[in-house]
Amino acid sequence: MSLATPIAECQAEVHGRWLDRVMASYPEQARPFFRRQKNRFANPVGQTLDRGLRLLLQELAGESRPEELCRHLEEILRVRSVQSFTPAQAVRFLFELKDIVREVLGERLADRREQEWLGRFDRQVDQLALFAFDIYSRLRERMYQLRIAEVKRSVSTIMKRTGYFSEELFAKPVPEQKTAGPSGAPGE
Amino acid sequence: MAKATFDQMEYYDPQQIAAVSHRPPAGGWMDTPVEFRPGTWIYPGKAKHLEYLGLPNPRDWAVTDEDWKLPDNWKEIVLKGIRERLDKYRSFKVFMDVCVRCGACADKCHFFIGGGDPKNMPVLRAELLRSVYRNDFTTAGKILGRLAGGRKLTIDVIKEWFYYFFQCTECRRCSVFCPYGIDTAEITMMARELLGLLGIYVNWVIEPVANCFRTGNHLGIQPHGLKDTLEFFAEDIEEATGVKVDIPLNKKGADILFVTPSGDFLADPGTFTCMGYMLLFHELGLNYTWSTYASEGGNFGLFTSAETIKRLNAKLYAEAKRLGVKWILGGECGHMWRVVHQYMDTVNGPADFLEVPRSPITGTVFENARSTKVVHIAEFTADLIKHGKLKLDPSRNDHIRVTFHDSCNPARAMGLFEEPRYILRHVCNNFYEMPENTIREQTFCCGGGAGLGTDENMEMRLRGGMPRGMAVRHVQEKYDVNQLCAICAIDRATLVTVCDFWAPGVKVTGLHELVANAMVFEGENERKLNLRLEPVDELREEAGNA
Amino acid sequence: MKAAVSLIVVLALVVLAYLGTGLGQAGFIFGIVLPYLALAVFLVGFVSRVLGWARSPVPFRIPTTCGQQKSLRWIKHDRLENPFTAWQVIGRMLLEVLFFRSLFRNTRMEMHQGKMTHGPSKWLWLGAIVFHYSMLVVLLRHLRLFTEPVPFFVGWIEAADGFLQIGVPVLYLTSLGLLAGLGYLLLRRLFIAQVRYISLLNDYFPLWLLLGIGSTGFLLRHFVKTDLVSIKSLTLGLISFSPQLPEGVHWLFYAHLLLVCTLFAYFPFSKLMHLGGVFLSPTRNLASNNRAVRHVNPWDYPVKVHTYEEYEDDFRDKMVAAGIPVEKQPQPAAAAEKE
Repeated sequence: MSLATPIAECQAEVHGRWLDRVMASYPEQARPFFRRQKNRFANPVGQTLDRGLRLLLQELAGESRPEELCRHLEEILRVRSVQSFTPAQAVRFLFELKDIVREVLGERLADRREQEWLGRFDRQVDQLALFAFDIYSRLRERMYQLRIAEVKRSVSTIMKRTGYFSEELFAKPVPEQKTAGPSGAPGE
Repeated sequence: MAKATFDQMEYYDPQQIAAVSHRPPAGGWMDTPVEFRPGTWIYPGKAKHLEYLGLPNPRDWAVTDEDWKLPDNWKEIVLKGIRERLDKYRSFKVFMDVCVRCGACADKCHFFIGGGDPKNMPVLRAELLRSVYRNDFTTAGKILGRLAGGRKLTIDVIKEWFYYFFQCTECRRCSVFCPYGIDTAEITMMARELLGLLGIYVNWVIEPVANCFRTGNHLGIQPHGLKDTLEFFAEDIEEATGVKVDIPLNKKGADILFVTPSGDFLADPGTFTCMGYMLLFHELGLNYTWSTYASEGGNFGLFTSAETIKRLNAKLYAEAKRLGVKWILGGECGHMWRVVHQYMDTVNGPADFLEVPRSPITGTVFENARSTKVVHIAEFTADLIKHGKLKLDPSRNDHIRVTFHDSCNPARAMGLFEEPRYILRHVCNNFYEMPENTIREQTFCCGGGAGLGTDENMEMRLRGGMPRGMAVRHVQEKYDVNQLCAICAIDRATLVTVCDFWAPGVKVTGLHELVANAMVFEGENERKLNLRLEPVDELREEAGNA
Repeated sequence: MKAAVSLIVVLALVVLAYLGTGLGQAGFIFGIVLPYLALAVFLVGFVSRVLGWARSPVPFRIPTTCGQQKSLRWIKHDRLENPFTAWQVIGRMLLEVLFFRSLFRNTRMEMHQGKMTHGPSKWLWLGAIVFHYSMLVVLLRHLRLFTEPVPFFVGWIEAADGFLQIGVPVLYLTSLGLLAGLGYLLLRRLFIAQVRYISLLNDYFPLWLLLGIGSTGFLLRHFVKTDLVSIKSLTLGLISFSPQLPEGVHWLFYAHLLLVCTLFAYFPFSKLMHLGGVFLSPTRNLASNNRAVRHVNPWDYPVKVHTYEEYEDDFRDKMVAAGIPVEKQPQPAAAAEKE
């Protein structure tokens, strides 16, 4: 299933509008900074979102490989998972893509073939949202795992001394689960 | 605006459903009260610790309580506290007056960068206090009030202070960029002192302070426990290297008193750095001693009040005097060095009973520490390496591709940049710098300094750790970096988590862990294990495959 | 809103001058009384403000270090970013005061997707430099009105400033620089959301005031072309404390003068005091030689500490049991019982 046709032609515009919508979820006073500071180390939020959305669109316009989509989604959600958003607020931007595509493509979606495409595209976005749901939850779980691991680490000497805790756990970092990917989410 | 219908995105309004909003309402910042969302704030100090330390208004309370149980005359206390501090600190007075709100600092704070909350812009963080100052202490403010940028002191303001001044890690990055050198750390310290007058502390700071006062260290390790711990380290050291180190403890007549943050006794991976010190001193045959009484290099007084700095720091000179040492050597720690370098001599000096520090191995006299008489271990070791006094085989660390994180305080309160890098280059063959706007004086905080390194505010910490984490991720992708070296105990605790979240796969290490792993000891075994008791061969293979 | 209010105040001042001197005959008040009053407020205010700061001691030496410390001989010490001696501090302060070193740190140019970009902060430095230096030159040029004979360097400055030789009288670069710098500083306050959010009335007012001073001055020089000789007789009179009111001075000059007076009187009570404050900032004006030279806190006081004796009393038995040396041996059990 390729969505290449209509979306590929107006990627830049869709990207711009999409980024604006995502930015709208941040405080007004931070938006110009997130938007304009181009140094990715001075502005990791803005640059990660900019890049993540672009890659996501590219992938959607191209092959739409699930593992790639998840990879880009994860970059975006890693940032949004620590920013005081509710889960819905954090992933809401995906659904907004539907509106943006309609806005940008407008009357070009008039004929029947394109209407079919749009239907497929909507389902694709829904699929993305399911991925996002998994990834977001996993990132939040990870945050709590790390929190627990840190507490244990902070008293590691005692735990080792009392034999309460196996040393292996300290030797290796908390293993990160692989990206949920296609197998982790309901199939199409 | 028409109400959204079910088919519109706006229909789902989380602000109504969950009563949580991220965007501040339109209008000025003065009218935006703080919202306490779990994961962003720290538990308050328990009454028993305040009582033990003799601090005002001890009581048990919760941040989410409507009533914070403040004394009736709380307002008077705070205003009097401000007056007093204006008269005692030129820094405070000048910083209250000269800010022109140019905004140069706005995007320099890691919390603002990571989250975009405008009150995390250093200028606005300071304005939280400055607005009250203008209202009650300046002529214009007294007459014009709001028009002159003044704001009345209310309970909501106190709550806002608590929220935002415990969202500042006193890292001083903003002060590097301020044209007047306004230092938000200084303002945060004043604000925390003011909150302290009302008995508002966070437990993660005040419990260590109480512990340190009684047992000599933040973690509350008692003397026999410390001995036990060091002996335990010695066992691991012997297993890893075959070297039997001894543990001089409270030894009179030693040349040098060694102090390091107590985190290194209890928390991995700091423990391995501690083993590194023990091995280094053993190999040098240094006549040194640990102390159970002065068993804390760090000083959470810095996050409490100037008076508490002095109360805790006093033990170091007192113990040096009692044991009759010549000078003091300090371990790898961040805020400890802010205190040692900028406060210790002033609050508890002059240390005229000590000698100007001189390395017994190389004969180098540390002129830069001639008054305070405390030398940083990185200065000490760099000097050893320069004089060829250490037998090093950096290839033993070849499986490590390391980057160096400048810890805030050694960087911006001291300027300790080259010493650790010099050491690192001699004990590791693969050292890569992070991008230049994230290191040295522009280094990014771990997000957990100044008493924020606890776990209940994890979301906030990961947010603040994002700029650092992203830079680590960059060198991980670009150079395959797999370890981050930090000379700070808080870093070694918090950056493990930051890296695990933002750059999974990068481990955290201390400088002297790497030194010890690269050192060739007399009478050592085949060194199949590193100080973490990991088989080095396997690590090498893993790194080779990566 | 805040910006509008402060603009209205400035405009009202201009109108006031017109009413007073264009229509009315209050030249004496506007030309002589107010300048003396403003100057007095300025001098007393400025000095007392600086003394006020100076009265508060510097209990701790807290420089922000931005370069390598002085430690081992073979490690290159960054003298200007981490000064160790008084001279090095002077060097650092000169960089700060003359070149806005810290603000300059914001400046970064870099490649981004093949294009050279720089953050908006670079413009802040440039805007600030242009405004402040133009202001300085404009002030020096005004010496012509207050001195007789005019010092030699004023002529040089004017020649350099007007080297473009445009218009009669010649157009000074710094006149434009002053207005452009101020304009930029105002626009960024109005249009950059984060700066707008932090801005107070006291941030807009001085900008409008200075813009008012700059533009009335510009108009006076290039369009109204008021009689310089009579103005100079006024200014020289003021400065020699034998004030006399000349005839035929355009009301716009009084507007200019009133705004200047307002600035002088407002100065000590405002953020403009950063002019003095920058020299007193403890993170910049102190040497970072804390471990080599002891800094004394004048209000230092003794605090309650936990002494070693108290500590040992608390843990003596445990220490002895663990074989850690103690100062005082534990009392034998019998003796303890007797108590």
